[in-house]
Amino acid sequence: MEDSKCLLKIEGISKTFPGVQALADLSMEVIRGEILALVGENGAGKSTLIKVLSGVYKPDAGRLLLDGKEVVIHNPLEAEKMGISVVYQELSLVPNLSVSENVFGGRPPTGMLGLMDVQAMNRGTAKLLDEFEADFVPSTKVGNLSMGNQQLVEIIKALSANAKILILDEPTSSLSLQEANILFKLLRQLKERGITIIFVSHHLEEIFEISDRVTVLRDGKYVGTKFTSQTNEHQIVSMMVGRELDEMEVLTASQAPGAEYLRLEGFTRKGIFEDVSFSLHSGEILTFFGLIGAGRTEVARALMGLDKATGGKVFLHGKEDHIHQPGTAMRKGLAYLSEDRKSEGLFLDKTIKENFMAPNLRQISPGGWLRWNLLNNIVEEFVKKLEIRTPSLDQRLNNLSGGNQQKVMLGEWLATEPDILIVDEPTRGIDVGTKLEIHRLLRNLADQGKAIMAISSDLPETLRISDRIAVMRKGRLVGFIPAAEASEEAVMELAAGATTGTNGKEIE
Amino acid sequence: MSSIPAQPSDVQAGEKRGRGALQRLLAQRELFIFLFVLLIGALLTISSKNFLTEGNLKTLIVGSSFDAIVAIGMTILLVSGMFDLSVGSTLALAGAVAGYAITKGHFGVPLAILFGLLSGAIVGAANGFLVAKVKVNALIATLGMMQVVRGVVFLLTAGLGIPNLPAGFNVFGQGKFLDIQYPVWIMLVLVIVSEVLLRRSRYFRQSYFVGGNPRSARLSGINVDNIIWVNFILAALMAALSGLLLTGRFGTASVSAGIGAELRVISACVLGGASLAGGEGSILGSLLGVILMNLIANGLNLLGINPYYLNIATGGILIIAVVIDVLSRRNK
Repeated sequence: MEDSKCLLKIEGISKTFPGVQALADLSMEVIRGEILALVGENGAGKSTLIKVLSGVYKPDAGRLLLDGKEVVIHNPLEAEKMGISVVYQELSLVPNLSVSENVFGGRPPTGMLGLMDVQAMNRGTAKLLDEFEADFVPSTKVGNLSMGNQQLVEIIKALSANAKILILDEPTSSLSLQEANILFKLLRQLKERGITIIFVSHHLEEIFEISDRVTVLRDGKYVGTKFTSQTNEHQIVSMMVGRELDEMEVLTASQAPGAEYLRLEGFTRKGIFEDVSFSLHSGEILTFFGLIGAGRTEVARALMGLDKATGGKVFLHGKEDHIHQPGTAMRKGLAYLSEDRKSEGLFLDKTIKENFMAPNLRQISPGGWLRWNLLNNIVEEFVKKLEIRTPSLDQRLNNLSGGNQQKVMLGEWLATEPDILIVDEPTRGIDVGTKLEIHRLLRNLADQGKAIMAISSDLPETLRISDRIAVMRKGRLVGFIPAAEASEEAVMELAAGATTGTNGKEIE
Repeated sequence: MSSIPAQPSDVQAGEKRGRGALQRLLAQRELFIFLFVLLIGALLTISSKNFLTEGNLKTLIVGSSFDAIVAIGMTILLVSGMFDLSVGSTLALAGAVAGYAITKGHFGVPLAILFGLLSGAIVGAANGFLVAKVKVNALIATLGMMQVVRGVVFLLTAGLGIPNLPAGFNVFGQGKFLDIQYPVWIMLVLVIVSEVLLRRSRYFRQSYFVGGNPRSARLSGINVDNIIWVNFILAALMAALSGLLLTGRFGTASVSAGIGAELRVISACVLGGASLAGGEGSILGSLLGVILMNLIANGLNLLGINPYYLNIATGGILIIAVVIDVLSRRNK
């Protein structure tokens, strides 16, 4: 590539976090004036790369060349001065301030006496808003704007800082389809003005709609770059997945599934997920796969009564049932292990015993009075069964590894003797050894007759443990894939929208 | 620090590894503060011949009872991660309501007491509703309530207080059993009952989880909102009871009763091991905290030190207690 065409050159960037190599010797180029799509599975290193480019993280090795000159970016403010602006997934606007105050942020124009010149701010903002045909005024409070308009404010903010490179981190994840289309129009306008855009997205159809080139990352490494017009979705997916299939054996059910334990019909939480229908049987592991934000966790939360469902029916053991509170769900034989064990699931500064006590208060207090020996029996049983490694049952969870914390959570919920176990990202952030242990444990539990609904964003895990895979995309259940027919490509294509899916009907 | 006080030996056993003797002592907050009470007591015995006398000790213990009763409710509230700044006003309200019922309404003493308790329960229910259901921050909700209720007290007493209450009412604050005044006995019974409930009953144990991590508690099937609501009512009821006893003791419903009680009681509870972050605390610890605060006031008085130093001493001790708390947490 001629040097004049290349705006940003990334050479041999590496970044390691404790236990994770987030970026490994990554090199790539960004061409002046293009829209470059950056894709990869969860954990491929996209976010880390963005944070390196914006000066949030300092790379351990490698260098960045901007316009052919080596640059070192120490913080986001420096990145902004060099013309690199990032619009993050979670917007960084202040909802209580006006649009123009947000746009000018830390560098408002000042008038006499060094006071903020509100008029100048509003004039500058109004000009930008006009250019993008926005239907709101500079004095509007940002909190009153729709997500799409907030994103527009964020982009205008970046432009007012004279951005040359605009990086958008999953910009459509919180937008409606209509808002996304407006965003794409805007991006094309920006491109015409010569602004270079790096666009991170999970959604393949968007990438093919908007980008000039696609760069694929995997496991922190650069896989390759294709001209969008010269590739197809299948090729991109196989580049994304491409790892050696498969160092782990698939765990298969020892028997056919039994009675139906749970059935959802048209389950809906308006604006979050819609028309989700499936049934779950004894002895079965049904894994919900999808990209982050597809609505899988939200289905589980509504099912448990943590959030309110706005439509649809729930059947437990064949009978229609209503669950408004987690306590009711528990008594009806459901258990939900949250994806976020630290903030929602465990009590980190309490002991193993106390953690076991929380969901089992009823079992260990016949007549309303706590019986410590009953608690001790339960804790001893499950600590042994799950091989939780701890010097003492009175160890605080803070002092246990992530894997052992996860086992405590699994143990305390198994002690409630659920029929239906919902595990949300059951192995997130834990070591490979424990991960495989938990996989085997889930399989055994299913073989003992439990019905297991798993939620996973980990593709190899999904293929390894599932009897069936339910794929969700943008709040809808787009298809089921039986284990026998599942491949990484097939699941990923359905999740990212490369194939149309079957709109909730079983492929059988 | 013992987060849940049952089975203290076990808690200790799990933590012995790799921790210094001082840290272990700090972790057993009740023991630490008990030793501190003994130390101050010993110092006062040496420095003032009036300290270790029956009269002084009785005054000390009676004087502590009123704060201690308020501290019981406050501890339960703190354990569930909440606190109530309106307890001082509620304390005054109960006395004023009872006094008003007797003098203006000509109700009998039992009904007057019932109205006094009821007024407390209403304040608690309002606090609980605002915090648990409307999700108003506890600081703001109870700060507002503190002023509203104090205003009601001024209205009821015409700003002057209600003196000359009948003996039938005053007996609860002044009567004696085994030569010790009723408020002390009532306080002791409540301390024991609530300590047992907090340690052993399923219902009260839930508060530790609510305060420890409300989101996890909710997922564990605990009705977080209801527990917080009930605890606000309990805290206000305890304050009301304390107010009734205090009114009886002086035979007067005072306008200024309970001013500053909220901060004094919260300080005592924190000294005794309760955490403002929730999930920790015990009634016994809070009782010792109350005794320590009263002991210091008593000591300054006996030693003839300018009473203006009292605020400095109690405030200073609170800050020290919190610093110890933060440090022992950091070592976890």
